[in-house]
Amino acid sequence: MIMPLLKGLGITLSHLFKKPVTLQYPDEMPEVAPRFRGLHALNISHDKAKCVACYLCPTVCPAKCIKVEAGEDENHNKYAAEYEIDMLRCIFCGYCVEACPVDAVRMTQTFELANYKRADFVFTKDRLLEKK
Amino acid sequence: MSNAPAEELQTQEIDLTAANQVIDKFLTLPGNLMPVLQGIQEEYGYVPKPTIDLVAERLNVYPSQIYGVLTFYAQFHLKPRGKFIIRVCVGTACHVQGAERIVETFFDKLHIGHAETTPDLRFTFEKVACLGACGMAPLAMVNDDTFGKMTVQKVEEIVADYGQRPMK
Amino acid sequence: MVNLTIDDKKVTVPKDATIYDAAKSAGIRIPILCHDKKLHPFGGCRMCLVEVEQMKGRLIPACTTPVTEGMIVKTTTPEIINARKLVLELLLLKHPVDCPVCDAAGDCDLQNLTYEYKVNTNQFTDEKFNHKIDYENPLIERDMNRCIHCGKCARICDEIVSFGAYTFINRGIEAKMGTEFDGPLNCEFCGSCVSVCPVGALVSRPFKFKARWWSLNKVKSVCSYCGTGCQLTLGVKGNKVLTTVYDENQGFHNGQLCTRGRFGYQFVNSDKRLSTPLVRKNGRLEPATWDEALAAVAEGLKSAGSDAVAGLVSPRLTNEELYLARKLFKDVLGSNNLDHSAGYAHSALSHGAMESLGFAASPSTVTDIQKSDLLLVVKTDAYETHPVLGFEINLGVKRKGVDLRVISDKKGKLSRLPKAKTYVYKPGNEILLVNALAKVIVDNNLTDPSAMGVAGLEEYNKSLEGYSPAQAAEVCGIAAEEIIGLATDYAKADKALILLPLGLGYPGHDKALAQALINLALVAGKIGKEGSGVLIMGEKNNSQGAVDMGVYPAGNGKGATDIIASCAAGATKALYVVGENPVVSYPNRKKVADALDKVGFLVVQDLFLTETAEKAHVVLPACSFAEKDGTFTSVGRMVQRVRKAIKPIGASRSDFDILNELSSRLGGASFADSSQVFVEIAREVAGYNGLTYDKLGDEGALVPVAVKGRFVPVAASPVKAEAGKYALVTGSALYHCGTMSRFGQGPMHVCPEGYAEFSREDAAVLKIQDNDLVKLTSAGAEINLKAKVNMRMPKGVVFAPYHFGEESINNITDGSPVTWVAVSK
Repeated sequence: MIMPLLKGLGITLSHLFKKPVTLQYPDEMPEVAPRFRGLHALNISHDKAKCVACYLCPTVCPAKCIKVEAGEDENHNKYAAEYEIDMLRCIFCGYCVEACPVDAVRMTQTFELANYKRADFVFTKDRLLEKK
Repeated sequence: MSNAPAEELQTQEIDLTAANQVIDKFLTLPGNLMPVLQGIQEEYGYVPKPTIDLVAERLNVYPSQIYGVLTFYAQFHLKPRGKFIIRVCVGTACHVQGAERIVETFFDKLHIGHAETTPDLRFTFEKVACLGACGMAPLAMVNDDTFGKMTVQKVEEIVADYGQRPMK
Repeated sequence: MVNLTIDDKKVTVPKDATIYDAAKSAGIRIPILCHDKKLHPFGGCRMCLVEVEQMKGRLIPACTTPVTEGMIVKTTTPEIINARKLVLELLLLKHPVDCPVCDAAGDCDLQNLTYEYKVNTNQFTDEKFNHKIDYENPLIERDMNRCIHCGKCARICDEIVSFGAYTFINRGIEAKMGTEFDGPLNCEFCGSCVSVCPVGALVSRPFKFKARWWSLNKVKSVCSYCGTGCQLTLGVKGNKVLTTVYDENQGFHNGQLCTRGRFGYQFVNSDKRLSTPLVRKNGRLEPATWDEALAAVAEGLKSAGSDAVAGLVSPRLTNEELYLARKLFKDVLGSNNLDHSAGYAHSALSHGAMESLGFAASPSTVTDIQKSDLLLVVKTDAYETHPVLGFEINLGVKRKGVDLRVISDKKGKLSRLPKAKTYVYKPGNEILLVNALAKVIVDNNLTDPSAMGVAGLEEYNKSLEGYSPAQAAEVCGIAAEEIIGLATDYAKADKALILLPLGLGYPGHDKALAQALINLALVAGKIGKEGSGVLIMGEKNNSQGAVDMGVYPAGNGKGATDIIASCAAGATKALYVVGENPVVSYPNRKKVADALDKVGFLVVQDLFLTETAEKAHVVLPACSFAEKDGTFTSVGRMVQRVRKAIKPIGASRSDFDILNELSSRLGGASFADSSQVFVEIAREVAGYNGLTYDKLGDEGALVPVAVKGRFVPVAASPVKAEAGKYALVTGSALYHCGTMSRFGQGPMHVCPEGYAEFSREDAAVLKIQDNDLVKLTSAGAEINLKAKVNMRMPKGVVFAPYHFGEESINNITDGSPVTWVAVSK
């Protein structure tokens, strides 16, 4: 009768001397794996978004959360005049990154996506570009 | 056969009487486009743009097709040609004998490149693949005159000699 | 028929078929890049290589090799696959592979084949091309770096369009598709080359980067410009019509479109579309609710009384809507004052054909054009009014050896076709010329035996006195021998078809001309045979439908001209204008505008705030063809389905909705949807019996006619020339149709304003050059137009299109076939 209790207390006691499993978030931040799929970011090259608005990411996206509108710049080249990801719908599958033919979109390690308004979950091109 | 954009081609007034006569001559002949264009080239030395429009109108052929024919065959020229056509062989034998230096010397002396004409319409320079006299390599021709065993020295002589000849 | 074996399948095909055709008929796909079913075989791309047992030792191109009896063909051996892979590798060697930014991606033959044949490495390396991209024109972008030299653009432009804008230029590795002097493209911009380009070398600029091909919703419909009845596929995304998608299996025309159909769709999603009803308050048009607007309309129409209410309804509406409009006027308002297209633009059908043939339609169909032996095209060459029928004529002349004769007051593009003959007469004398042709036939005993039994022959023969070729020659300015020759050829041709284009721009193409031509066809026995007859070509997409639905005055009803006159006199108190723009498109603009100003209650129902709508008391925003279901009837009497592609723009409602609700507000019948109206049409309208939407399908259905011809003599007197003045003839510009195409960016890019065409001789006398501003004066009014000088105009004749609102040609016209104008610089 007493032995199981002591055994239990023993386990509890042993944990006092072990490294805790939990993290004191947000004082302590977790270390995120390099291949973690967090918030998207648009890659930049020569001060411009690399995205050429090929529409492969919205095509492949299973959650249909990506919206792209192509535009024509002064050199008649194609660029993304609009690029939006609705994080409320995104399932972080990473297909968009895989589909991208020009390595324009990647997924960062940012996972803190809480917000106060639904509208704030829609990440526009500007916000996605800010994520260096 | 030169690949000049439209704006570079001269827009001078052309007397179309000769072209009309050539067309009249071949008007009823089936497949008359080639002889007409050859005839026009013979008259003018090249095929001027206004004559292309004239041929298109009178033979009822699209101007674009005439342009296609003219650019396909090496024998047709869309720009005025020089009085003296210098042709330097760059075929295998001549190449081995240093034809490239001969060519460069001509470029230097005449200030023109391949398939170009001096502004005074005296010289047109062309590189050609073989003139059929490999024994005389390196070889150059000016109109129908042949110059074998070319040297840089001889290039200067040729340019000086033909540079003095009358244009008419 | 020839029997052969393809991939162990027994196939029987006609003897002029190629291996490719035979395989296709057996359901075996052979990959192609340079082949198109509309064009002559080319054999340039080498993708369709197959193995033939009897020709062992080399691979045979399937698209150019005719079948022979007992042929044994293999289409997919390892050797063939390797050969095709090699072809693709060589093509990809120079191709930029910029699929992510290329609009053709998804609809690209090269891309699809590369994927299918798994060409993911290339054993060769080379530099890519660096050709300059042609951005010069607003409609077609040419990137020759992507070109794979299939030559389809050059071939379609030559074989079908007969413009010849492209050719292969240069030679060997430098060869490329180019234009004359390798300059920018300057053509009629029909976009046929874009439609057949297997890669993205030619792309549509209005659609550039707008959407990927796979994300488009493709809706089959019918073009809403001219009466040809071309089927088209709308590319729709996000409630916007973004483009027209090429489908080579659509319609008699195999998906071929003209510049209006292909590039003129933007009016559907134009910013200028009306989005709310407008009601005039304190002299200004203010936004209002539908309820308010419809109540005002119902009240206004009702209070005017049945004699004082009139309607002008556009033949751009669907059959169902036109039927409703007719019903609203006849049954609910009790008025017969209903008309369309200024009256004269349909009288050839509604009165001419009706009296002479017993029905208000053409006895011939569009497919007769290529089956004919001789085409007699009257007044214009039919190309400027119905471009796709022009393509049919091109094909007939070039492929089937059709003898093309044009009688017109000016030359047209088709005049340049091989062996085509154009008879240019002095403007306004067409009926006289047609009577003279008939006279030759009668006098030379060429009258067909079948004409003997036709009523009124004797009287007709008598009426032709005074139209001898010699007399006509003097009046028309065509040699008598030519008239005799033409008449003899026409009479002797086994199958001969007359084409008569109609339109608001062609006031002379009326009842009389149609009857003169029908008489001519009857006397030569050309009606009722395949490939023969008369094709009266209505101007708008549903001109034939409008006549079928009876949208023209019946009994004591007033026609358009009388309606305008009675508006001016104050007798018509309420006028309901649906889709018409009389201010711009009817002759004598001042008279029309003044008349409309005097109407007590003017309702205009349109897509845009047109010049007419600006005068209205109530403006109702209607829907374009892309926003509604229904049917159009083409010039060839083909009833075809129009399908809803997008939701109505703003608060606009379809004409069906509006007419239906007005009808119920006024105590008339009301229908649930357009298919119900069609059920009633099928019951009530002759020729439509038994038709349902399901029966129409994608192909459409032909309205049958039974010819009961009779001769109706038509008198004509020579048009008197006014000394020192020029003969102004109006008509249609190739890029426009009616006044609606002004709201399509495509047509407006190419032809943004009116112009006046002059002959070289006149230009020399007047000392004018292209783009000079010239002043045309007639009857006290004047307009200033840009001049165009060309070869097609005869001396003393000026041509101007009628579509434009500013400096409108109708300021100086009065509805007669020829207007005599003074011209000054």
